[in-house]
Amino acid sequence: MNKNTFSQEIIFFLITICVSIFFGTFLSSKNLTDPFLYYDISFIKSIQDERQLNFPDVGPYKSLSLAPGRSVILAQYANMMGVSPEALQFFPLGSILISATFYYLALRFLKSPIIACLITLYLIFNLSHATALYSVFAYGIALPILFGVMLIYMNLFERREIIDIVLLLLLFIAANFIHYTIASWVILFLIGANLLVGFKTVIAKYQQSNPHAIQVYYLTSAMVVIFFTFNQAIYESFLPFFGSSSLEGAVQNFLTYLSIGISRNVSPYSFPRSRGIGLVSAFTLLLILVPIMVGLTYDIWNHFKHSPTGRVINSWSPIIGGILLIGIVDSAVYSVRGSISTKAFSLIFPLLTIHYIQRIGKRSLAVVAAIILFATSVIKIGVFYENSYLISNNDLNTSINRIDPSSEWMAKHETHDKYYLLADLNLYGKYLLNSVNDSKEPIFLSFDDNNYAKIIGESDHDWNSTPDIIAVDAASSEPLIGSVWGRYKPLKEFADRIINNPAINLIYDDGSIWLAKPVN
Amino acid sequence: MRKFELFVILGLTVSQAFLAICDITGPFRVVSGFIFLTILPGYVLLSFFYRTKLEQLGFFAHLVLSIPISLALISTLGLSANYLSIGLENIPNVTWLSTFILFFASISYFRRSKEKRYNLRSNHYLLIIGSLMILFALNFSLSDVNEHSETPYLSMYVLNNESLSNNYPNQVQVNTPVEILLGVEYEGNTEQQFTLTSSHGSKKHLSLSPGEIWTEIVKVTLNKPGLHEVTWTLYQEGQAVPKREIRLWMTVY
Repeated sequence: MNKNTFSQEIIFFLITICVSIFFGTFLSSKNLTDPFLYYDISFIKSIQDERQLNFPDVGPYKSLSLAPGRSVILAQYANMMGVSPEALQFFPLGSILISATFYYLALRFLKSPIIACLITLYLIFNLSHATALYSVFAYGIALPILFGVMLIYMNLFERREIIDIVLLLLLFIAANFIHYTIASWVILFLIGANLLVGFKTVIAKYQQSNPHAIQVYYLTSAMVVIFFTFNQAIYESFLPFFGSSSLEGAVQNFLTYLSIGISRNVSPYSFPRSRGIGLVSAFTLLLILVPIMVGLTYDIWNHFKHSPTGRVINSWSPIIGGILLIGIVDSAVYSVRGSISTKAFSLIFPLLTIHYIQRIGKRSLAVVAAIILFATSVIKIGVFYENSYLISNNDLNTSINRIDPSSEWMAKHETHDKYYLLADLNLYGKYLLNSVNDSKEPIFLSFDDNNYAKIIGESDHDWNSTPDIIAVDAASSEPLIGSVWGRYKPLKEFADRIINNPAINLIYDDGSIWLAKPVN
Repeated sequence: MRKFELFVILGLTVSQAFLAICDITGPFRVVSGFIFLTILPGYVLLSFFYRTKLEQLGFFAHLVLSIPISLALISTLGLSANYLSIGLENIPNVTWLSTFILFFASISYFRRSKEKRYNLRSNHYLLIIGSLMILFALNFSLSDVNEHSETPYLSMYVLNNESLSNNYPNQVQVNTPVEILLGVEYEGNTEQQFTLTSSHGSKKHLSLSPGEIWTEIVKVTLNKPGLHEVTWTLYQEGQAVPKREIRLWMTVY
C-alpha cells in the first residue's frame, strides 16, 4: 500500500469518527433513546451497589436474563468511565463502535476510503435506525461484533488458522449473550458464506483448480447448536409471536412504513407516518436493492450461459452470500412475527449495493451512489425534523425530570407494591427508572386497540387487563408505543375525550402528565 | 509487541486502575475507561495470537479489530466474573481486567522476536492522537444528562379520605356527603395566587409558596340521581385558562 492511500484511509477514518460522534452527541442532546433501553439502565441502577448481578425470574427485569452480556457490559462501562447509568443511556457509544468497525469493513470490502466514509455516515445519520444504533442499546454493542465476524472471516477466507476459528467462536458466544438477532445474523452469515464456498468448491473441482476458500461447516454447526440450546430468547420472545395473523400485521406495518397505502385492517388509532418519511425510506430501499437484484440476476444468468468457465463467483462471493442470507431470512422471519424488517437491508446491504455498482467498472459511479445514499439520510433528517418525528426544536415528550413529581406521587399514594401501569413504553421506562430504590414498582401494561379505545371513551368492552393506574403524557406529540411494534396516535390528540370519558377518573394533573384510574 | 506499546498499555491500565480505585470522575476517567474496556483487552489478545501469524495485520487493522474482540471479552469474562462472585464493582472489575490485559501484554512482549512486525509510521501517530482528541469530545455528550434539577411544577390531585389513590367514591347516595382529599403542590420561584373552583359550586383562594403542598378534605354532596362528573379546576391569578383540572365520576342513586 502506498503512503498516500494509507494517509487517505486514516484521514477519512478520523473524519468518519469525528462526524459520527458529533451526530451522536446531537441525538444525545435530544434525549433520543430506544424505549427498551430503560429496562437495562434501570436494572444497572438497581444493582449498582451490589457485588453481583442477579437476574430476577419475575418482574420487569425478567427478560434481561435472556441477554445477560448486555447488562454486564453496561455495568462495566458505567463503573469504569465513572458515569451514572442515566448518563450512560445517552452516551453515543454505538456511534463510535459502529462507525469505526463499519468503516474498516467497508474499506476492506470496497477498497475506497471515501466510499467507506460515505456509507458509514449514511448508516450513522439514518434516523430510521438511529435510536437503536447511536447509544448503548443492544444493536450499538452487538453490530460491531457482527462486523468483527465478517472481518475475521475475510482473514479465514485467505488462510486457515485455528485462531480465527477461536475468535469467531468467541465473537459468536458474546453476540449470543448480547442480542439474539445479531447472534442469528452471525449464523446466517456463516451459512450463506459456506453455501457459496461450497458452490465455489464444486465448480473448482469441475475446473480442476484449487478452490482456495475454506469452509467452516463444523464451526457453523456448533454455533447453531449453541444458539438453539442456550439462547432462551428465541423460545420466549420470538417463537410465541409466530403466526399468520402476525404476517398480515407485518404487511400492514410495512405498507404504512413505505406510505404506499393503508388497507382496511389497520387500526383507526394507528400513528400515520408522514408520507414524506415513507417516500424517502422507500426510495432508499429501492436504491439499495435494485443494483443488488440486477447484479445477482446478471451473475446467475452468466453462470447458466457460460458454465462452468464463466465468472459465477469472485473472491468476495462468500461475504456476499452471507450478507444476502442475513437480509432475506431476517426479513422473512420477522414478517411472520408481525413486522417486516428492513433493518438488515438498511444496515448492511449498502455494502453489496456499492460492490455491484463498482463491478460495472466506473469508480465515479460508485462514489456517486455512495453520495446519494448519504444524501438520503441527510434528507431524512430534514423530513423527520419538518414532521417533528424523533427530532424537533421543541421537546417531543415529557423529560424524565418532569416525570419526577408524578413518579413520587405514585410511590407515595399507590396502594400496591407492584402496580400495573398502562402507559406508552417510553413513559413506562421513565417511571421504571425513577422507581429504582423505591418500595413500589410499576409493571408494564401495553396499549392495544381495546385499551386505547377504552381511554378515549370509544369502547364498551372490558379491559383486557385492568390497570391499577393509567399514565398519559399529555405533552407528547410522539407516537405511542404499544404491544408488538404497534404505534398509536399521541393521546394528546384526544385530550377532550379522555377528560370527558366516564370510564376513567382523572386523579392527577401536573400539566404534562395525567394519571387516571378506571372507574370501578 | 514493542517496548513502546507495552509502556503505553501499562500506563493506560495503571492510570485507569488509579482513577477507578480512587473513584476520581471526570473527562480523563471517561476517556480512560472507554479505552480500557473498548480497546485494550482486544488489542493485547490480538497481539498475543495474531502478530505471529498474520503478516498483513497493520496497526490500523489491529486497532479496529480490537473493538469487537474487546466487547466480546468484557461480555464473556464479565459474565464469568459475575457468576464466580469476583464481582463487577469498581475495584474487583478493574483488578481482574487489568490482570488480563497485563498478562497478555507481557507475554506478547517477551515473545516479540517471533512477531511479523509492522512499522509505526507518522500516520499511525496521527491516528492515535486524532482518536484521542475525538474521544475527549465525547465528554460533551455527558455534560447535562445527569442533572435532575428542581424544575418548577404545579400539580393537583385527588385521593380518597385515607390519602390513598384507590377506592374513589363512585356509587353514592343522594344527599349523602362523601369525603375526598384534594391536594395542590407547587414548586417555583415566587409565591403565587390560585383559585380553586369545583363543579358543585365551591370556590377557594390559595396562596402557595415555593415547595408548599396544600391539602384539604372536602365534602361532596350530590342531590340528583344519575351519573355526575365532579370536577375541580385550578386557575392562576389573572389567567382565564385553567392551569389544572381533575375529575371524578360518581353514580348517584
